[in-house]
Amino acid sequence: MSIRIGIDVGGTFTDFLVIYPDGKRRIHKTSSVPSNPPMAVQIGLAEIATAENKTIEDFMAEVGLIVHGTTVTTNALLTRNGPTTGLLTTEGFRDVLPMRDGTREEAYDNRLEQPVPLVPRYLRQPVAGRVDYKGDVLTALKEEDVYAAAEIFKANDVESVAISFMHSHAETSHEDRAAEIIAEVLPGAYITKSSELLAQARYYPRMSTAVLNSYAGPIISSYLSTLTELLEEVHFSGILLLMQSNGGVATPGELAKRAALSLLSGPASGPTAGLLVTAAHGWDSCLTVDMGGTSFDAAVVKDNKPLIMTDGIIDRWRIALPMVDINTIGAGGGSIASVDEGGLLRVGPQSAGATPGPACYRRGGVNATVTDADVVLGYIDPDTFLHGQIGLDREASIQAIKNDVADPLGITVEEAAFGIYQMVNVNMATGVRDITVRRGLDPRDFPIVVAGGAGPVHAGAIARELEIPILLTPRDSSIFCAAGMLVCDFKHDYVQSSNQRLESLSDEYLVDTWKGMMAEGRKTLHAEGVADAAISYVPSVDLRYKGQWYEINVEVDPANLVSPNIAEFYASFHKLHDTLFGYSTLDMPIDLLNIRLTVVGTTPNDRVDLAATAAGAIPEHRRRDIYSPLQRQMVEVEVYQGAAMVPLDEIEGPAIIELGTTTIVVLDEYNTVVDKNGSFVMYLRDQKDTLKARLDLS
Amino acid sequence: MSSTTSTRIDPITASVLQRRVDAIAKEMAGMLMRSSRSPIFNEIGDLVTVVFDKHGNTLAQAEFAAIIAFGAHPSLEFIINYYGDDVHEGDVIIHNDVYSGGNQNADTGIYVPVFVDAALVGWMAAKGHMADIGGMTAGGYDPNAKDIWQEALRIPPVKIVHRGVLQRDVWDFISANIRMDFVMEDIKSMIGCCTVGGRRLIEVIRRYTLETYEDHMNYILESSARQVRAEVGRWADGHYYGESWMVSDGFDTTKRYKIACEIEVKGEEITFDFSSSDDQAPGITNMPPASAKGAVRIAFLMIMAAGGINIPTNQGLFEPIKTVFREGSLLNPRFPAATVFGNQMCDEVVECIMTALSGILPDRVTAGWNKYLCTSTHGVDPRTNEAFGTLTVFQRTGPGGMLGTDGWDALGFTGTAGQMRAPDPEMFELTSPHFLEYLEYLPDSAGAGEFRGGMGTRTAWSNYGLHQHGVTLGDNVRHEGAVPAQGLFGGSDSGLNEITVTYPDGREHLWGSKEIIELPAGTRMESISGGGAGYGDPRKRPIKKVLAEVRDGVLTREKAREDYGVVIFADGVSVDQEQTAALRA
Repeated sequence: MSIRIGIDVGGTFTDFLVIYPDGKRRIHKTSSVPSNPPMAVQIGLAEIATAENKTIEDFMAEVGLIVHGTTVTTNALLTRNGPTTGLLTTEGFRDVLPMRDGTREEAYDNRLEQPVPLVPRYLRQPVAGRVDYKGDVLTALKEEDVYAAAEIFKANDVESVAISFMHSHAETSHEDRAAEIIAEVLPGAYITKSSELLAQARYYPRMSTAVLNSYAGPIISSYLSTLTELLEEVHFSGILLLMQSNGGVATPGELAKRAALSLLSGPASGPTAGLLVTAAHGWDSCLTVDMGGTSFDAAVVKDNKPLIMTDGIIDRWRIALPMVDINTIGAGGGSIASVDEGGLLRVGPQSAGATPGPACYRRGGVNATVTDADVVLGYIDPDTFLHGQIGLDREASIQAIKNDVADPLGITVEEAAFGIYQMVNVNMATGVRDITVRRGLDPRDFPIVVAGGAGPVHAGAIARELEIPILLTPRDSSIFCAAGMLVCDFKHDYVQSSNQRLESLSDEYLVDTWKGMMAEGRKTLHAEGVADAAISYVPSVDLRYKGQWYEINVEVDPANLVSPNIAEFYASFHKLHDTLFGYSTLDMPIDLLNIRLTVVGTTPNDRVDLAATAAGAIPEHRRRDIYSPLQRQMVEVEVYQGAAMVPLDEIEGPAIIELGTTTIVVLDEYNTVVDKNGSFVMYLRDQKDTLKARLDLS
Repeated sequence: MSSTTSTRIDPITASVLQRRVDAIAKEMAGMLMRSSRSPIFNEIGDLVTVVFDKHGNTLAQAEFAAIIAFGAHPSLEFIINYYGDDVHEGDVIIHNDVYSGGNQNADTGIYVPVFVDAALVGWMAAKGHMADIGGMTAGGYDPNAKDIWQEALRIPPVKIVHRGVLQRDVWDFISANIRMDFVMEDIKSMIGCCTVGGRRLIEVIRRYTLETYEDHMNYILESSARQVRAEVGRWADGHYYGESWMVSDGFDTTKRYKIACEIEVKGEEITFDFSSSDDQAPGITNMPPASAKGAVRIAFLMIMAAGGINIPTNQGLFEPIKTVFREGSLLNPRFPAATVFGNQMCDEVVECIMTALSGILPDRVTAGWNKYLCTSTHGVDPRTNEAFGTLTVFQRTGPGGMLGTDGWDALGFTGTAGQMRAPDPEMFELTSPHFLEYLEYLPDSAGAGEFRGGMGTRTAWSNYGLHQHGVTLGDNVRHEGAVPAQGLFGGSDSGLNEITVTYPDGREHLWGSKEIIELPAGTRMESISGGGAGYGDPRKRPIKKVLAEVRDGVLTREKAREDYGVVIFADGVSVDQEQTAALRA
């Protein structure tokens, strides 16, 4: 067994989690290098080697696996720093991309600007040739059009091309031929065929996904080749895997082909990481929440799997590939509080971000923010915030809240701060509720795993909102995503559009379709070095009642891959529909929209053990005043140093646990106990016996 | 609104409660959207979910189609008066009738009273546009209708569930009068979402106590009203007039009807008086007051949003707003006039208001939106031998430009305010017997202006359905002599619409704006949907923007010269600076 490293490149810091063969861990942080992202990886690895008194080459020789998540494509997309991209569309459908689904994001706001498409109209070139919905060719592909478009692309220095023709989900030959021509005229161009990326009906989502793939393609390709070179330079001969937005990992070669999967891949390992935290208690489901400076992410893991969605949006464009369903709302430490003319308090979605930041940062921000409220309420210690790297000005917080909230409402600064705290908590709780109830899940059935700098300050109150009795905060949530990456499996998703009544679906057709996908998946995984024994399949179908607009993804037993039992599909669909929408109609015909297969390759990883690292020196004992929502006043409480707490240590709220990068606020109603992983488990004291019985504190 | 306040009002509790009640309405809408069946209901999102207080005041709502958004409230007022004390836990009431508070017959509402400890504490409602609600023609749109009975099965309030027991006879009676089986499924889905919403409301009330909940909700209503008053108080007092024209009532295709609004701003109150609009029409082109109020509110909310003001959409928001609709006029027809076109007249109402306020709020109003035109079609799909109904709402017109912002391209109708989804081209072919030839922006369609109107579209499709008919429901049709929507401050007027029908025998027909026709298999439709009107002098539009549009092929060099005074060389990418300067001087 060799060393494994998880690397999470964020906007400010790049986090490294090194796991040694004996299970010991090292956490390392280095500044990200936005101008040259692979550089941070190289620098960080060199720093780790130095810390071990080894040359980088000697250290890397011991490393067997690097799993890496990057935001390089997401950032390039958001800042529009991508390649000049061209698009081939079916003649007559040149504007499908900017028309999107025909709606705008705000109903009444006529000032809202349309999003600027990633491909301007003069590079969206129409091509004659038509396939019908069944896949029959009505008119042959007009190759002259493709050649003419390729010349236009060439003249405009197009580096990347997406090809998306009407009904290519049913017949790929036109896209295949057009791709050959483009490759011939523009050798070296990155090409996406929408039918290959996502063979499913609905023209706009498929086209938009193909365009995003071509936009991301050259960026991730060049990033990966630079990174591979850097790693080769230091004699790394292990396996490099990349995080994908579907919650699985892939080799650089595979990710470069399905580049769109790198978009939003950053937080995709978070939910899986949640399982590492709950594993200590034998739980296979949880909610993960991550609250940072500007946003709040919530996700659900159920039966060991993160929930997946296929209706993602990035930068106002549809991305229809299956992705981990992470609900992001604009609520964070920087969210701005204000009072409207009607006398109601609002918090967010405007954010002061990191600059100018909350008033207490003294970086020019004058608006009252959530962080300011946390400071006033005593939840954040101005002197030890972020290990004391940023001294906070409590007086500035008080002044901002007084001006913006307390005076306009005629209440005290303390009351106003608590109001801000409550409002942002309700907003976040609603975000969690949304992601669960729209799946027919009850949030009360899930423990919450808390991450992010501001997460543990607010999580207890959010859990109260949702009536969730148990929360877990890992000891070091900065490596949360990096740890998750190390346990993610290889994952590739396949889809084939198949529009028919379920009753007319033949076993042969279904088996053949799945067989094709299984072969494709096996081939891909073999190329990634995964042996047959480690490969498993998750088949599913997208179904809806006749006439419905939304389809529901119904997972079916893998036994169906060989001998389908379609009666089981009906039963599962009716049941799921009832869970989601409160009714089912047994005699209503069911339409099949898509056949799907997820092919999973188990990574050759041991479990990551999150057991606590040795305790540091025990800092001095302190007490401070915090606001108690239950007593509705400031109360003096004990401040515990998290680093000094060892498994089975238990404290009663109200109290504070300082973790250096964050603070756990233990509200009056809670107790907190340290589990064998070193995580802090907060539970409702009045249900002590039943809740502690669910915990594994052995 | 009652405002007897017994507990001390805590503005924080009020803010939190507002957020909670809002979340309930949204959760209900999400459920309904995902589970409903009628295409106009879920594709277009022609639905609204509402949380009311026990008096019927709107506390929060989640809307997709704006025109229906405020239509749930007048019906509930009627229901509360009608039933008096005869409202019980477990009741479910259905309603659609436009002469007892409805906005359109097809927009059918489900109302569920909510009880805590045997006391009525509020109402949940879900309202949506049904694929069929009886009447002489499938889908309910028939321009030949002359009275309400031809248009729909009238449902004044009826309990379909009484004290928790489904009234099978009532259910079967309604079901027997509706053509499409899945409409009853949609009713189930509406009841389902109201039930869940009710459960959530009870949780909130139990947590805060009824007294705290009610006092604070009253405070929230007052707070919205205060916000509106403060804003209207800043507007210059006076009387302002705007008008708009509708052409064709379905019988006389060239007849012009005036919709006119006189707005009075006085201190913190505002009155929209439509009395000088023309008398009611003989056919379907009449707007019930519930719908007309909705249209006024859309224009008002657009003007507020343009000023950066977002107010929770509850009853208080409209408390300072008065509306006057003269009985017997287009906007308040006398019983038993047909009214199915009413919602479409939102375009006219909005244009009146925008024009009227352009003098005092030039930075808030938009130039005219090209009045919307689309078709609705029903028949039998030969692939399944089942009935189908669909809307060709990919035909899109353009909104008007406004100071600082061009109109959004191909957005369509004011009444849905940018929330109407277009059928996906592939799904249109997969789910209905049609072939879509093309669907693109219409070059040169945007009304010229420093801030141009949104572009319209060109589309063509053909059908192969059996027993198929189609009906148009719109306006601004060129061959009827339509009056384009008005440009502002030097911007050009909007474009116009036209649908040319070619029958299998080669015969051509220009489809009227409100006309039902047979569509034998093999009929081809070719549609031009015009763009919106422009705002401000086109010659002030930056040359760079004009050039980019020529390069993109959405503006011809001729129009660039003619409308914008920008002369572009034949290469299409470079500007003749000298001639341009001369033209723009």
